[in-house]
Amino acid sequence: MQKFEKGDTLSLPAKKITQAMICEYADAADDHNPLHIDEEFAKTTRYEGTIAHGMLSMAFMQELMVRTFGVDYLTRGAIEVSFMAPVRPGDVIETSGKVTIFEEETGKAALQVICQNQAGEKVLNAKCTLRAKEA
Amino acid sequence: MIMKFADVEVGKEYPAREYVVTEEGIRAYLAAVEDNTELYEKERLVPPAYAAVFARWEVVADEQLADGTVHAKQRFEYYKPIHWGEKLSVKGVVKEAKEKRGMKFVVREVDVYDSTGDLVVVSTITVIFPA
Repeated sequence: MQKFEKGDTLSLPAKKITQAMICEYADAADDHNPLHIDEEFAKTTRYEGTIAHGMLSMAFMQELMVRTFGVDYLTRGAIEVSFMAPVRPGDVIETSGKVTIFEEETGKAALQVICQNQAGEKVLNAKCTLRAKEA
Repeated sequence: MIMKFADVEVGKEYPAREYVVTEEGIRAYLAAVEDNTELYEKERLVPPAYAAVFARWEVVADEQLADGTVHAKQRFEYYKPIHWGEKLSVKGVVKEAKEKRGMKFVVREVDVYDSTGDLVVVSTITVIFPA
């Protein structure tokens, strides 16, 4: 397992959200809520246009964790995410994390992970953790 | 049926339903989220974020959310890797329903087991019902 220090930062290359990507996600996740895929409908809502599924951006956070911790994240990991602001077609999302806990001996770790848009606005905020390895 | 806050029953359990994670489904998902992490292909593993597909409330309950429902928080806990083609058993339970500062919160949990009966994922979903 890779070693980290408290305060280390990790990131993914930025991803551009497009309406095509949102529609592809809707099909893949079987979530066809019109708020995400029907511009005419979405214009009538308080969002005034389509927005991406929150779980689409959350996937970027999970990608960061798996690229960092590999299979350990699938056996000991957890994520708790708050959806702070909508992600819209055209947004460019940067995903980054800061290590807040890392115990080499136990394997326990915690990261504060955020997704932010091109304006620097935080759109998702998460705490990602790895439980200690079982003895 | 559209679920109303008044109809939410804390403690209500929803019986297990089967969900098979297919290779086709995983590939479509990874393409959609633009994730080419080698681990998934190499070891035929299901990406953790795919729990958003098989561990969501709509898999266990035939209930529609009213327009204006907000998905406020989401927690996933992972216990065991899942492989492409595995048959999962997905159960649901309503954990909490409360009104706070005029907002109606409902917390639901979806527990996912593999074919050997081991717990693999716990999904905790917090939604705010429309006022």
